Amino acid sequence: MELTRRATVAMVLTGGLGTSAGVRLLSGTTEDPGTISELTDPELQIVESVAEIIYPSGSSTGTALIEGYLSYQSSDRLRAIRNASRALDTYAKRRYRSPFTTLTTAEGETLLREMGVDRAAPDPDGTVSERVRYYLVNGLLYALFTNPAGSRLVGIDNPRGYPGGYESYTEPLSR
Amino acid sequence: MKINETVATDERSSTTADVCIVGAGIAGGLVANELAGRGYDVVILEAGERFSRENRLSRMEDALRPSGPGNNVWGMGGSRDAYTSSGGFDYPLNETRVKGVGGSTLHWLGITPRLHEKDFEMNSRYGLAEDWPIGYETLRPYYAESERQLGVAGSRDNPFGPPRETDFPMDAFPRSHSDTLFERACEELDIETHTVPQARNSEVYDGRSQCVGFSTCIPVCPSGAKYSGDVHIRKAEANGARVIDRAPVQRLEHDDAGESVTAAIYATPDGQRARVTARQFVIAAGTVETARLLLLSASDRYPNGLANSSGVVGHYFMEHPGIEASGLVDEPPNANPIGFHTTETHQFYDHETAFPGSLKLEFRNANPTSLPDMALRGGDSSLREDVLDVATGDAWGDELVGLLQEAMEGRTRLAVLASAEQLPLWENTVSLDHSKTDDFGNPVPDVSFSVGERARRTLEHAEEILRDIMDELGATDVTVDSIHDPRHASHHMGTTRMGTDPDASVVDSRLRTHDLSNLTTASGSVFVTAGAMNPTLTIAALSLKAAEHIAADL
Repeated sequence: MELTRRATVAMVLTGGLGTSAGVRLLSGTTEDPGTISELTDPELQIVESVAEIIYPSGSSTGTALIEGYLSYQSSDRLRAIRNASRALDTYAKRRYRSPFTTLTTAEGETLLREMGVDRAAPDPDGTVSERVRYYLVNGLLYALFTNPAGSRLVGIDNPRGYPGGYESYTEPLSR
Repeated sequence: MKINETVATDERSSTTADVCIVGAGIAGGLVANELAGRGYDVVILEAGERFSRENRLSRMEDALRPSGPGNNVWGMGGSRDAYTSSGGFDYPLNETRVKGVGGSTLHWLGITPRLHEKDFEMNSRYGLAEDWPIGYETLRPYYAESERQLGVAGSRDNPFGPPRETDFPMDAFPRSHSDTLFERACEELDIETHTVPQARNSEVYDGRSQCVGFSTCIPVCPSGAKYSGDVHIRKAEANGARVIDRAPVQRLEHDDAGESVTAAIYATPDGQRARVTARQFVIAAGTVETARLLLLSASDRYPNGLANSSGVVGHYFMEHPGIEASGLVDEPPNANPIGFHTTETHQFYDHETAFPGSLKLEFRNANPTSLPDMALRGGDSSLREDVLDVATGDAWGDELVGLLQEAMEGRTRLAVLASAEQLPLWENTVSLDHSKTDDFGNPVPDVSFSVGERARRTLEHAEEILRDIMDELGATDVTVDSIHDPRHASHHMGTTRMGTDPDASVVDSRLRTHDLSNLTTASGSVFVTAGAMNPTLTIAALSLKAAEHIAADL
């Protein structure tokens, strides 16, 4: 059976639970009629490029993790993510005369810091830097650190926000 | 108060039913389902909205993000929910309730103990407050039925609990790693611990998922494993009940004789008014709004508020004050995060003498570090570091992981919470504040509240126990909440107390008002005393009992 994108996403969200009997999440994982397809492939690549910059080197930053995160976002949220991505790309073209996705990781990080994204308060309705911080940087960090892909870097198998089963709390932390 | 009486003509137009229920929380849902299931035509009016079940992951993200609304992910606040707090304690009312289909159980923790026998007999046993007009034995079968309907996971390992007839519907959640550390210390102190009954699925139950460990029970359970009142609203709807959301009831009207309620007048989203007439009315709007609606429904016949011949409506508001002790221990105590606790002790609950009052101890699965919170703050663990970000910038990538590892190493903190019994005090009230109005021009509720001397002394007693436990654990850097500034459990009780004397109580033992023959209040408002147990299972049991009486009348 060919898995749809959304089915893949559901697997990511329930990752680690594949063999656990009796798991049944509430039907659907999206709100309103939002679908990840509201992002074009180039826009999705911008999001993934940001992830390459801000994710630690030891984490698995597969596309599935990011798409899993995007899959349950509302239409409004996806639109805002798209707008922040476009604004970032526009800044890159103006500053480096290149699309954001063609920058090296080092150039991309320099650009984010030049924009003040690291110093900006995350604000969904704020300036470009504040929106990039809110929708892209913090959204991606949320995706990573509510998933074992990120949390295991600090010794947590089942972080808050991840459906890793309740049995995990009976053991001491592995770190 | 001036009300536009124009009746809307859309789908929210005036209607009639056998039963009109105000409030779509757990009490309203249970009553609605019982009555709709017996074939009666039920209409439920809910002030808040119907939340989509499918956006709970987004609500969780909002709750976990440091720049989000915190636990307020259900839209509380604004002029609809305006209130004042005039007592000795600034009561954060909107943090303690949710308006919407499901009500406050959308954000509750889900702990479901039964009250103990002594809680119903405070006057005859200790000369304190009043007895309930019913005892534990009367409520006992309804407790069992509530546990079955909500789906309660538990074990019969509690030697201090009241008698029960059956096992719990589901096995208890296993104890956490942190619990084992507490158990060792408590054994040395001759304190016996036990598991915790909770309305959270430890296995698939009633078509809902088992708990999958999102660890965000408060404020939102994305899996639906935690019971919430919308479960029974859906069941009621399947049985034919109609729910009208975003329909805040403005007042109830009664007949000329003042003997029965004739209509509920509610506001529509477009500012019109519509009317529901019915044979029976149930106010199930929580302890605060139930009292407020009665007070807003004052008339010539009932100048002090509907069903308020006694003058008691709004009085005896109760909560559960508590203090928490926490400390650092040598061995790594923190298991993976978990949104609920799995061990308590009720050893200090029943008492032979009037003082100290009942205590319940909850051993927290300490989870001081929210990984997503700290990660999104660039690894900052203090406000000061957050402030410096403006100049220095936040970390991400490998630098962030280093900061997270460093910060989490120092956070091996255990905590115990003691909840105390609070007596009903006449001066603790929910009243109308006429100096401030909501978006419909109605006076807002004023919560005037203080802890009271006996509860404070009970907390003093609790502090000694908590410090003993921390000492036995060998904990360092121990902090204990001040008994002068206790935390509160968001447990609202009192305001339409139950009783046999119409001059001293608002409803009778069947939860029907003494004054009006077809008006029932189903919520924590009917509690005569509060005990120190989480009240929701008792609210559920009382609601099921009330539904039987209403069905008999119909």
